[in-house]
Order: sequence, then structure tokens, then C-alpha cells
Amino acid sequence: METATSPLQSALQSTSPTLSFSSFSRDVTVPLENFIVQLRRGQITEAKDIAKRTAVLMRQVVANSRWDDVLALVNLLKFVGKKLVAAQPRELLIVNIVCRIIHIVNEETSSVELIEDPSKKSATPKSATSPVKGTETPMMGLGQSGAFMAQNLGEQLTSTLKKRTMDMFRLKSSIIQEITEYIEELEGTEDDIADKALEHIHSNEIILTCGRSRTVEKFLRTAARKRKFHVIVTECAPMYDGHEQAKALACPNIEVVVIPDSAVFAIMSRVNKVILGTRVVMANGGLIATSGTHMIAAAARHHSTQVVVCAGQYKHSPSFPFDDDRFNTLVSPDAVLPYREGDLVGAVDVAYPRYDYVPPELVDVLVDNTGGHLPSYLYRLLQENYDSAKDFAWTIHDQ
Amino acid sequence: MTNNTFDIVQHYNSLIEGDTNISAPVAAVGSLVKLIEKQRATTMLEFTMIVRTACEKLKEATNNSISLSAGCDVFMQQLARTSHAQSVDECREMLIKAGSEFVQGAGKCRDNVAEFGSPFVRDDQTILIHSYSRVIMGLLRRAVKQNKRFRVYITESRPDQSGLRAAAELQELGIPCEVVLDAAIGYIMEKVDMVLVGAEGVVESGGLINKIGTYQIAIIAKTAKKPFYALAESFKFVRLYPLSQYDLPTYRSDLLSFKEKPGTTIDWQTELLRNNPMLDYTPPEYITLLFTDLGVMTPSGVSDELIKFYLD
Amino acid sequence: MAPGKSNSNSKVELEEELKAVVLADSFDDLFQPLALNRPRCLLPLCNVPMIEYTLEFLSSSGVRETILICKSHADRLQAYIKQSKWGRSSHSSMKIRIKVARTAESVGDALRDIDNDTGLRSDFILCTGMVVSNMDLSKLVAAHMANKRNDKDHIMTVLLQEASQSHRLRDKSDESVYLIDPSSNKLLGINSFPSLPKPKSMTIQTEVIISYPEVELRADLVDTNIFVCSPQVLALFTENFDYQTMRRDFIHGILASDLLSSSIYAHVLAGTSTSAPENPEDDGLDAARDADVNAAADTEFDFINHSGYAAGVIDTSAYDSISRDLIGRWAYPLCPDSSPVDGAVYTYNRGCVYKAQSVFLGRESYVERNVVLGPNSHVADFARVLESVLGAKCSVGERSVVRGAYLFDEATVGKGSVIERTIIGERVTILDNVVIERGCIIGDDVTIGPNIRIPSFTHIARRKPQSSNTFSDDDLDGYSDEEESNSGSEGQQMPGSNTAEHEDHETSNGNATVGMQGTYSSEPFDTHVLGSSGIGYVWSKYGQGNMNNSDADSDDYDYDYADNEGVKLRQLRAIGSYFADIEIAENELKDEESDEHSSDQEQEIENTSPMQVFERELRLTIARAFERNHSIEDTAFEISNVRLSYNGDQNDMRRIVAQEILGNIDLGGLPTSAKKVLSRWGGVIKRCISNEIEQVEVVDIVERYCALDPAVSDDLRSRLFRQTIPLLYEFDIVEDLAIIAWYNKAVTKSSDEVSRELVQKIEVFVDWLNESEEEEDDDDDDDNDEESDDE
Repeated sequence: METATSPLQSALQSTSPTLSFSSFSRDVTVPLENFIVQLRRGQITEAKDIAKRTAVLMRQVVANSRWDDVLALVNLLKFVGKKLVAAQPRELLIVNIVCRIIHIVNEETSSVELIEDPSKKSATPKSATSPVKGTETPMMGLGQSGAFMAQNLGEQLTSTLKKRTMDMFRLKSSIIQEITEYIEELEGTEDDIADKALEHIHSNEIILTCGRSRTVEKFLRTAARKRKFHVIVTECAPMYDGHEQAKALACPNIEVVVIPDSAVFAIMSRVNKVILGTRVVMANGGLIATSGTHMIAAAARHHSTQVVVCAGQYKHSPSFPFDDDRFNTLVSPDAVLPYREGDLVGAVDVAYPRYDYVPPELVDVLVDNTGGHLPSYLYRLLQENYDSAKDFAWTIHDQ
Repeated sequence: MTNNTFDIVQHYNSLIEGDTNISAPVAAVGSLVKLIEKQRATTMLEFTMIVRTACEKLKEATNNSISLSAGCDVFMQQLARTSHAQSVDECREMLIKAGSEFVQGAGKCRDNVAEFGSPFVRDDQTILIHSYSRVIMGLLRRAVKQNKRFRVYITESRPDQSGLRAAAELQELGIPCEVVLDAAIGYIMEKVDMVLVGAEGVVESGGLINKIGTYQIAIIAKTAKKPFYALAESFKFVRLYPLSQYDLPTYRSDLLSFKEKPGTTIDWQTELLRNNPMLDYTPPEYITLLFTDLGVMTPSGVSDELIKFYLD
Repeated sequence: MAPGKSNSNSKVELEEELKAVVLADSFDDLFQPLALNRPRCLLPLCNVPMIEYTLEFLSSSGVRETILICKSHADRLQAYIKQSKWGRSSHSSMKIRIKVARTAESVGDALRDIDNDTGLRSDFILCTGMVVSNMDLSKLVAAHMANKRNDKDHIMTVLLQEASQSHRLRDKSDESVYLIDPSSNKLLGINSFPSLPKPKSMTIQTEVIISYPEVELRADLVDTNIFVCSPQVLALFTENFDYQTMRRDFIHGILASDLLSSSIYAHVLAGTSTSAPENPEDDGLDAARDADVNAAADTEFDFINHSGYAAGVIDTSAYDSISRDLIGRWAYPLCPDSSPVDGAVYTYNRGCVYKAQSVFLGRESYVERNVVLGPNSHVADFARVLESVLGAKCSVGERSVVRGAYLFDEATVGKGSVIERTIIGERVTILDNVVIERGCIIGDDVTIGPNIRIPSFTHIARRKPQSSNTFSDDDLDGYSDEEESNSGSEGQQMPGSNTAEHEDHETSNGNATVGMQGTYSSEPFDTHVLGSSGIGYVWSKYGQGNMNNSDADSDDYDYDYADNEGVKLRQLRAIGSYFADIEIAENELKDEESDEHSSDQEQEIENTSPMQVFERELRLTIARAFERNHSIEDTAFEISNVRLSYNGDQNDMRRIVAQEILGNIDLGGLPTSAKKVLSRWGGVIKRCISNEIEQVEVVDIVERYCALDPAVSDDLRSRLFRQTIPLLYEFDIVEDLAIIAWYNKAVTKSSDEVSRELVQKIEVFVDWLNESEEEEDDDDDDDNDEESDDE
């Protein structure tokens, strides 16, 4: 029963190597290839866009491919997920969404199972009485406690569900429905976050933000319906997307000031609150956010200014920041040093990292679509939204 | 109560001595399995009592009761879960089965920790490790296999100088290493990229009980803003919630207690060895992350896992 | 269905069925002998076949159909496309049609072929098969179409990249000045000249000045080899059947002609920083960028759409620059780790080091700065790899240095070898202790070494060079084409007049292989150049093609390569060339009259520059040592490091070190200053000496310095010399025997080799040395001091 392979390897192998593009119908492969190509070319860069497209693609996989049991479905999803990750390895959002969808599939399966067969509920206690195939830690160990692991469950269900195609059909439609709900949730993420704005922003406060973030824009504008306050935007050279943010924020109740990035520390003493957007929230509560964010957070810490980070739950990544470089994106340094400057281009190395890693110690509150949390609480949210670590182990395959 | 001739302590010790790779909790579970195989209790109550006394005996008999008690706890919890069984024999059967599987799979836990932790080891890093820990060795071994190049500082780790053993083993793997004095941690911390420590036990707060010296390393690492990672298999999670150094079960009031020394001339060297603790407690705020076989987790994640296990 | 798709859909609607024509053949031989076995566009650039970059660029620009025109190795290309992702129906909406133009001799021929058969009736993109660009060209095409409504004669838009004079991307053999009407971006003229001899003047048609109120003259533009063409372009090529090349013949012809009223527009790719979003210029690309910004208004973090990078791999020098650009991420998202091209997965590490899977680096290896390591590549301990690309399964042995080199798959480098700015083909084996100087090109399957130095700009291949003119381009095994090929075109490797070294050898053997499609010759390998275990043949230097062939290249010049100038221009297009080389060469030519063998001269030319770099570096090192008061050991260590890394010569090093140290003697403060300097720093000189002969040389160097160095005033020369030599002895830098030996030799020499005056000055000292040697006297220190104090 216990094989020599490690859990990660077996998790990898379980996305069985026999899968290939031909395992999918054209309804899946065409949008999949399309999406992969666009990811590679960097044509889709917006976080929510990537998230939504990934989720939609996952729904297509569920709807349009042949699977006889949940395990096979999860493997299909993992296969597609791996393809997407390979296309844009630094895009953590894809991993988030794929893991979330797999989680949804597992949840849905178990609930269908429980409804279908209430008698079984007691017969499958979360104990080691019935040895479960595919367990990875010794069955007595701690990891066993939350015994709802994809494989176990999948395998348990396979035997029962296989015979009942009616159930599979029902399961399929309910999974699709769940994913659709999730996509709707994604769509409304910004609005949900903005609903919490009044808890965080008070009248006449001076708020500092950085770069372009739609979430923060909506957050501030929602607050501006009821309250009047000042917003300072750093311009975020060399992309200067702070300018755009300032334009987007300008409204009667918000007085917007744009400052150069270098003035952050100087102005921080006057700031009441720092509100930031982010690309991804790592599993330890750290941020991968636009470069310059770390500096702002550090300045805020120095002045004991509260740092509020607005990020939808889909941005919560189950991975830990083990390597700064792997999660960063270095874009063309052209904006830093124009390519035509022949004397310099050959002589110096120029780098333009797109993101900063902000350690969790510098973040005070994470606001997501369900409310505000401490960074240290993030692990709980992750446990609710994703399956155990082994289920996203496949994402670190290129290590 | 124990009418059999089986001496659990002796069995435990022979297990530990027989296999250098076995950790205390695993040996404890192994011994307990052996015990229930031997005894012939007829009622559930008796059965439970036998196991419980055996656990007590084990804890008393060894100085390293923390990780051992983790093993005992796991076994007791398993016993509680199986208690719904129809008969004692059925219960025993299930326990034996689960227990032996636990023992067999224990080695794999270490591999899993290595698997989850190895991405954190990057090329061209300098790592500080404390004392000797099998799970750290496993992690570094894997990192070497992944063609990563790194250097390791190892603390000497008084009083048993287990750092020397670690150094010898790492040298064999071809990893450049240096042994540093326990007192020189502050001195070298600047050159270090991350700190790895093993654990005797991980407590409910997410803090960690480990070889003496761990706490000070954690404090220095925190001051120097270096990541401090603890490696522990999940069977080392123990149900303790220490609030200070002196809440550990291994605490003896006679340690460093200014008590009167016998005789007129005092041999400070022996006093030193006799009077000093072997373990200390590192509070969770000093720990960046824990690498476990359940995945990488923050200290606060540990209590969650423990609650999930013991409240089931 | 998916929201993000609207982007691409709108793009497609914009121009219905955008087509592209790709010239997969280069009609020149600048990459020989690398392209012997496969078409040039399948050569790897950062470990990805170059054609992939081009196809990706076209596909992402929304091109629906691409016509690949190829000639040599057409079957290889066909096979490649078939197995690549482009051949997969589900992958791409871009159709690829391969057209084999067997008779084409030039770009012009190829385009005429297209005109004949494909009947392109709409505007299309024209580029070579070796174009790297991250642009979305569809916007430019749209701008092109829009402009056609204003100017009916608008037939073509030329894409130009801004790059200042010294830019690495520039073709060093070419100076081009573009005349542009800034209000409309209309191209009014191109003046191209070879950069040698330095052009002194250029002509501008008066009507250009008269008819346009404002004319921009720009010398900072580089041709990207990307054009947006109207169908008329093809027609014009057909009408003017003498048009061979795009730039020299066609653009020049159109612009200069009074009869043809067609107009050509230029589009200059500028970096984003030139046009801040606040003031968008009225120009297709900026409009495009604005559109992008709007489209991506939802963006949480909007990437700047760097629409700015486009370049064509036209020669090995450009190959080098573009590789560096890709590694330096200038063409983001085209970079090794997130390439839109299928290939191995690379991870980015600090300092632009990209590693594929299963890369093995020795614990003591040094891999830093702009390196791409292919899958399963291996770098042993103490090896250094810098600014290089290693293909799959490459290995670099212990203590070897690979700098600025491109190793194709499975190339191996032995121990202690040095490879600099070189392209090395697949499965090449370089054995131990081989030095390959910059600019070399080593074809597939060659073995070199051990213990040999390959002079710079040498081309080596596994096969014999073809002396027959019947082969064209990269087309050694395209035997079916042989007869049709124009004998005037790019025949392979006729030994040039300048390569006397190998001339006899090659001509005699060349005949044997005529018509054998360059099959492996049974002739013995050129082991005198390649080393005792060498496998392969030396091709002519600089990889010249047919020297007498004025039409040889798709270059836009009329000069031929037969003369020395042409050879140098050609060298300028090779990897690892510096313009300084040529300038130095010019000077050298003036200095030394032509009594020397021409090939030796070249040897001189090539060696001068690295030598000068070495010398400069060394002098800087010593100056630094003085400034920072380093210890003798450190200084000596640094000096030897400099020597090793620049491959400097021991003798040169000794000379430079001695000169530098002598130069630090304060001539006003003699003799104490000399004593001070030599007592402190003499040890450094001593460390450069390993035997008696070298000691004698040091004395000679000192004499030369005292006699000739311009820093020493004439009245001090003899004094300096007379005081330095005893000090050399006193501080044990040279032994007495060496001084005596030098003296004895010097006395007998003619006066133009040594300064007689100086020799006499140390007569007393030498006599004394002779005596003291006999007496084995020890207390000579006092005597020495007395001697110097005498003055």
C-alpha cells in the first residue's frame, strides 16, 4: 500500500502522465491553447482577468470533458492547471484558482455523497478504522485528522458513484453550478471589498496609496460617497501608474495629491493610514505587490501608521515565499534606461523588477471580500478555501 | 496491574539503540504496539489502563520525555478513536495495525518534510543549523541532490557536542561546513541567510522545544532579521502550552538553582554538566515558518492541526 | 465567451486576414560554417530556433497566414515546422505555407517568385526569418492602411529601431543616415555607406530640401528588417528585375527615382520614455499604446506594453547583441524564462542567470551575469561562465573560462580552456587547454585541441570548404540547386588573397570536393591549427565568401570584399569585433610598411586590441595598487589575475609592470625616490620573473624605459638608469649575473638597439659587480649607496 514514492511525486504522478491534449475535447483545447498563448505573450496581465479566465476554463474542463469519477476529474483539472502554470510560471493567481476549483470539486463531491447516502456518513468516520488507500502520512498521524483528502475521497466514492451515472450527472451539474457561483463571486470581489470601506476610512483622514489598483480605487471611491478625505498617491516611477490612479480617484470628496516615490518617508508622518493593493497575498501574509510597496510599508511601520491591504480572496496564494526572485517579474528595463542609449546599454545591467515582497510583519490588516483579517490569520482562510498542502504540491513541480 | 513480563522501558531503549534513525515518538508507539500484542486484557477499561500506565512508565523512565510523550499522545488518541469497537480484541487488532503502519511510515514523514522544505534552500546560500537533527540532514541531503550549492554553519551545541556529528555527516555529503561555538552565534549571524533547527516537540502555541541553545539563536536571528525555520515531523506535535522556559515537563527545580553545593571545594565542571538544562522553549514569535510533513505552516497553523487531531 | 478575448477579436477584425511573408533564407553566408547542416533560421538563439521568435512575433501580431520562402535546407525547415506547435491545428490560428524558391538568388528573386505565384492582393508584413520582436504589429499595419488613404502612393512602411552610434545592435560596417519628414514620417532618403573608409560627405537631393520645410537627418536608426508592404511592392520588384536587395536596391531605387512616384514611410520604434502618456504623438504606435491602456483600464497593475523592441539577426555580431538583449530582458516578454516560445523551462536567478532543469554547477564554479544554462548543462569546479549561452547538455570543464560565447547543444569544453566571444556549433568538442580567441565560429562536430590557440576570427568546420562557386548560401547540401545557382553569388569560401596562410592548402583540396555537396572529406584534418586531436578544417579567416563577388551579400553596399577594406568590413559584422580593431589596424598600416606578410599583418591587427585592453587593465591595476598601498602579494596576485583573464603575455606583463613601477619614481627626487619606490614595489617586478633570461629582459626593459620613455626628460635619462640598475640588484630583483650578462650583450649591440650612453653609465657598477662576485663580498650595500650619492 505504501509505495516508495514521496507524496509530492505521487501527487504529480497522479496527474497521470497518460493525459495529453488528446484527452480533451476541442471545446477545451481551443480555449486552453488560446489562453496559454495569451499568458505567454503577456497579453493578459490584469489579476482579475487571469483569475476569471482560469475559472472559466476550469468550468469548461468540467463541463466538456469525459470523466467517470471525481479522481479523474481532479486529475484533468490538475493537468490543465499544470499547463497554465508552465505557460506563466510566475503567475501565482493561476495556482490559486486551480486549487480553489479543485477544492470546490471535492467539497461538492462530499456533499453530494452525504446527501445521497446518509447512512454512509457514519460509516466513513474520520478515523483509521477503514484503511484508506493512497494515504500519505501514516494513518495515525496528525495529517489524517482532516481525512477529507481528494484522493481518499475520490477513491471511496468511485466505487459507489461509478455505478450510478445519474449521480455523476447530478454531481457534474452541481459542480458547474458551484464554479459559476465562484466566478460570480470573483466578479463582485471589488464591490464586496469596497463595502468594508467605511469601517476603515474616516472623515478628514489622510490616506496614502501606491500605484494603480482597481480594488483600492473602488474602496476609496465607495468611502467617498459618505466621507471626505485626502488621498496621496505615489507616482510609481518608471511606470507612473500612480498618475492614472490619481486621475481615477479624483472626485469631489477626495482631494488627490501625487507625490514622487522618494517623498514617501517624508510625508508619512502626516499620513493616517496606508491603503495598498497587491498582486498576491502569500500564505504567510506577505505581499507580492508593485515595486515600491515595501518601501511604503516600511516607512509606515517606522511612523506606526496602519497599513491596510485590499485584496480579494482569489489573491490568497497557498504557497510560501521561499524565493524572492521566483515570484517576481522583471520586465523590460526600457523604461528605466531607454534602449537606444548605446553607450550604456552595453555597459551596465539594468533591471526593472515589477514587484516587491512585503513581509507580513509590515502588514496590519488584510481586507478581503469577507472582511478584515490579521496576516497571521491567513492560514485559516487558506484551510477553508484550499485543500491540504498536498493538493497544491503539484505546483512546485519545476523546482 | 501489568501481569505480563514485558518491560516496555527496556523494549523502548532497545529500539532507540538498535536504530539510530528512529525518533523517540516512533519508538514509543512501537513499544506500545508491542505491549498490547503481549498483554491479555479482557475489558476495555483494563486495556486502557494498561496502555496508560505504560505511557507513564515510559515518560518517567527517560529523560527525553517530550517527544516521547508526543508518541504516547498519538497512541492514546488512537485508542480513544477505536474505543467504539465491539470487543477488546477488535480494538487491539485495529490499534496494532494502525500503530505498525505509523512506525513504518515514520521515515517517510522525514522525506516529506524535506520535500516541502527544500525549495527554501537556494543556490549559493549560507545556512546555520543547530545541533544534530535527522530531519535537517534529510532536507540538506535532498537539496544537495537538487544540485544546490550552499554552505552550512553548525553550532557545536554543548554539552553533548552533537554539532560535530552533524558536521562530519555534512562533510561526507560534500557540503562545505564550519562548526561554530555556541557563543559565536551572534558573531556569524550576519553571514547567514537562514537558520534551520529541528525540534524535540512542537507545542500548541506553535513554539518549539528543542536542544538547549535554540532559543538564543532564534532571538539573534530575529534581531538580525534572518528567517528562522523549524523542521518537525507532525508526530512531534505535543499537547503542551508552555508559557515560559520553566513550564516544560523536563523542568527540574534543582537546575541552576543556587542550591547549596556539597563539600568545600566545588568541581564547577561537573556542576555545570549536572545543573544545566538540555532543552529550551522557543516562543512562536521567533519562528518564521515550520516545515512539517503536512506542509509548510506558520506557527499559528500548528495549533490548528493539533486541535483538529485531538478534538476529532 | 471569455471576457479577455475581446482584445484579440477586435484585432482580427481590424485587418481581415493579415498576411506575412518571411524570407527564411538569408542569401548570404555570414553564418557559415554554422549553417551547413540546417537553415540559418533554425540556429538557436538563446537555445530556441530563431524562426520561432519570428513566427511568434507574427502570430501575436494577429497574422493569419504566413508564407515562408526558403531555399537551402527547405526540407529541414519543412520538417521542423511540421513537428513544431505551428503544425498543430489546435494551437494557432496562423497558417504557415512554405514556399521553396529554388532559383532565387536574392531577396529580389524571392519576392518576384511570390508575386508570380501567390498573388498577394492585400497589404502584408515582410520580414526575415530571424526577426526578434515583442511588438504587436497589427497596430502598425492599421496605421499603414490608414495612411494610405492620405497618400495613395504609400507603398511601404519601414520599421526602424532607435539606437545611438555606439549601440551594440548597430551594424558596425555600415553608416546609414535617414532623411525623414518629421511631420508625416515620410522617408525621403537613405544614405548608406560602408563605415570604412570613414565617409566624409553625403549627398542630399536638393528637391528634398526644397520641397520639405523640415527634414530630419537621423544617423541613430537601425533597420529591423521588418516592413509593412502594399502589394505594389511585389509588382515593383517584378518590374525592376535588377532589384536584388531590399534596402540598397529597392528603397534606394524608389526614393531616388523620379519616375516612380511611390512613397515609403518610416516608423521609428522609440522607447516608452520618449513618449509619456501625457503627450501621445500622432503616430500609429502611440495610438496603439493608448488603445492598449484603455483596453486594460481594468488592470490592477498594468504592464507597460513595451511595444519597443525589434531587431533582425543579420550577422553574427547582431546575433551576439540580440542574445544579450534577450538575456537582459530588453525584449520582455521574450526572454529565456518566460519566452512565448516552446522550449525548456528556465528559472530566473539574480544577475540574469537563467537555469533550465537539471543544470549541474560545480561547488566552486563561477556562473554569473547574463548566462543561460540549457537543460542538463554542466559547469565543473573552478570554471567560469560569464555572459554566455550554453545549450542543452553542454559541459564546461574545470578551470575553463567561457566568456561571451554561445555554445550550441552538446558542445563540450575541456579543462583549462578559454573561450571568448565565439559561436560554437553542436557537438563540438574542445579539449583541454585550448584558447579560442574572440570572433571564431566553430561549425558542428568539430574537435579542437588539446593545447592549442585558435587565432581570432577563425572559422572551422567539420567539412572542407567548397571552392566551387556553384553553391549558394547555406546551401551546401542543396545539391539540386547547384546548377541553377548563379555562379556569381555566394559561393563558399574561396580562399581570399589575405589568407595566405591557408591559401595553398585550401585551393589544392578544394577541387577535390567540388560537387560533393561538402561531404566529409578524407583529407587529413588541419591539425596544425586545430591541435593534435583536432577534427575539422579551417575555413578562411573572417569566413569570407567569394572575394570577387560584388553581389555576395544581401548587404546594401556596392563595395566588394576583395580588398582589404572589404575584409575588415566583414570582420566588423562578426561576433566579437570592435570598431577599435579596425582603427588600430589603420594606424598600424601607416606605421609599418608592407614588408611583412599580409596575413601576419592581420595577426597583428587582431592581437592589438585585446593586448591594449590587457595593457590598460594592467596599468590600472598597478595604479590602484599604488593608490591603495596594497601589499606585494596582493598586487602580484591581482596582476596575474588580470593576465589570466585577458590572456596576456608574460613578457608584456613584465614590461608593463616594470614600466609602471619605474613611472612612479619621482624624477625630481632622485636618488631617494627611486630607492623608495623600488624597495616598496620591487617585489612585484620580481614576481614577474621566473628565470635568468627574464631577469636579463627586465634589465633591458629598464634600459628601454630610461632611454625612450617620453615621461623622462633627456637630462635625467642616464641618471635614472645609473641609479636604478644598482637598486634592482640591491633589492634582489635581478641577480648580478643578469646585469653582467645584459651588459656584455649590450656592449656588443648596435647603437640603435640600446643607448650606448646608458650602457656606459653602468660600466663602473658592472665592473664592481664582476669584482664582488669574485670576492664573494657581502657588504656591498654601503658601496651601492655611496655610488648613488656620488651624483
